[in-house]
Amino acid sequence: MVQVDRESQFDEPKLDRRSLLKLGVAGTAALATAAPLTAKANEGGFGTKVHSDIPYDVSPEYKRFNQYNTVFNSDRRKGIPAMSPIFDDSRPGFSFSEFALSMASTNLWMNPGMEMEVVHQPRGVLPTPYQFPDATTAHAQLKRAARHFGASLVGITRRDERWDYSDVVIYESGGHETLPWEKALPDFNPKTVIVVAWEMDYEALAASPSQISDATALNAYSGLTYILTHMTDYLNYLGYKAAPAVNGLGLNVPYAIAAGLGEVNRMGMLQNYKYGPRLRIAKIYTELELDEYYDKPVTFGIQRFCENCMHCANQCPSGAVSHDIKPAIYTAEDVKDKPYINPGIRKWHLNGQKCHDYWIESGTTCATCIATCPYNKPDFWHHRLIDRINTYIPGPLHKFMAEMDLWHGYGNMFDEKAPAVFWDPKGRSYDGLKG
Amino acid sequence: MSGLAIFTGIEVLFFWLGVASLATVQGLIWIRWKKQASWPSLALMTAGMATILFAVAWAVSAVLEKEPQAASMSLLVILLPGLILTTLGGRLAWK
Amino acid sequence: MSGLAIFTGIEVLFFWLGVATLATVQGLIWVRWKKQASWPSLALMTAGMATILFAVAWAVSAVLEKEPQAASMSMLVILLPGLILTTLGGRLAWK
Repeated sequence: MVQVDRESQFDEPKLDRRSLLKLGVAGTAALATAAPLTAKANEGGFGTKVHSDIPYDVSPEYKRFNQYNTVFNSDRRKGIPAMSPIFDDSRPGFSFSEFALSMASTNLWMNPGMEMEVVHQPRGVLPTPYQFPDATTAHAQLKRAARHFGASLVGITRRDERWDYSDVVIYESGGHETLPWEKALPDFNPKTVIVVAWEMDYEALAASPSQISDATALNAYSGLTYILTHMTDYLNYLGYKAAPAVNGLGLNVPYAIAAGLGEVNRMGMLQNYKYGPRLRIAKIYTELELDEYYDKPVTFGIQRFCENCMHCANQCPSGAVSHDIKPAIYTAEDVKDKPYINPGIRKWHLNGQKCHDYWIESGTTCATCIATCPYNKPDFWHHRLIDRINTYIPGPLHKFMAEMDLWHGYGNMFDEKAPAVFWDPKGRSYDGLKG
Repeated sequence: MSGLAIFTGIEVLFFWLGVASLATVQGLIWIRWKKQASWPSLALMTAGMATILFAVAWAVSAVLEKEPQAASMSLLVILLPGLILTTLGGRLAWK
Repeated sequence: MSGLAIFTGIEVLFFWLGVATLATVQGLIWVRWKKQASWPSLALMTAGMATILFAVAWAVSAVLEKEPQAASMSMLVILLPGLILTTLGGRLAWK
């Protein structure tokens, strides 16, 4: 048996040749007895198109985004915090208990088990990094590991420098100082990005904007932190350098799209087939390189649906979500007074400044747009059916479907009854009579 | 039929949908056989009964997910057309 | 019938269980009505058919949860007694 001393993780490998032989035999036996592994790339199905590259026009002028320009950093430089949570016992969804729930949900995110956005070194258990037998097995085992640690979704893609920040903000500088990506993570040449997603709670999000909807978003960040730290350790044990990042180091949405987790929607967020936009995303960069990457970008009609729906834009209390019918490519000139928008890619552009201003004004992180989306539904057959139908039908019918969604009582925001539904001890069991 | 704390609401729903579907098919065969109903009337009744079954499935699912408005709306916009189609088909068959 | 990426395996299973249950009940009524089957034979056939349906439900559920051995065992320890009971009941009814 090979024992690993966690305290001496950075010491020289302690395995002699005999131990290595035993480990090899054990590994072979485990492989031989394990069920055959298959790499399941994307959730396919009728109407789902698979693309070889990210399926959105990227202009030659596109440049890597500088983290210095995010709204969070520009506001931070002005002394405006990322969040400004409030409590008011007279308002549903803002009681002190709800405030406490939201604050407690940040716990792991604020206190991760390992430092985020830095490179973590191999544990050194093996003299050389572990080699998976093939890319299929690597995909299957990496994905199983991520799900083991709690990921709702996981996709694996090749590192694409276009989606990495050109410069990374040094947190301690208060958002004032940056380092080029390559200098911020020296001696690190990641080949692979593992993207993980955490499902936010349906009832909690239905109470948005409130401390309850904040609680599920912040809990998602804590959950993602748990996954990232554990996955990083898993990769370190395998003998690979890895850098975990919830929102740092690069852009989550294009990486998630590249990893086959969904399309981009009107809000500029990831639209997944199963969860809609009710997800938070994070990623791990690692030097592990695979011979083949099975996860490919997919489209299933979201752009056409978003062109006709407008629920998120109509419900957004700050007017941050675009009402433009079609997505567009912005030039540097278009965004000269909006440095938080990265031009050069065809998409709908969120006005991040208006959005964050409302966060501060409302004392919440809002999420109204996510909650009102017709694709944000609990997992029921009739919603799966409608999602499939939406993939096929033409534009005007999408408008009808979006309207019917409201008629059926879904997507009502600022609903003062929603917090009571969240706290109802009977809850929404979703499996009906089981309670 | 309750779920007896064993079956979920969705399982119970699909069980009864199965029962109702077979009964519907048998009913339609009976109408064709005994009443010599015309094919257009049968087509109308088939579409109507399918719509009614779909409406019931939708409404029960909406109740299970605690969206009563969705249940009411489904009765209005799906069940009602189903009833109209079935009635029209029935009138054609029995005229 | 696949789930078409809309229906789960369990939903499809319970739908067909509903169909099979109604067909079974109708079959038993037919045996009583047309064959004048005795009550003991009907009781045996009812118990047998219920056991068979239960075995099918168990086996399909076991396959869905990726436990093939549970499926095989259910065939052996549930389906087989069900078949015996139904055969005995049938022989009583048809003798």
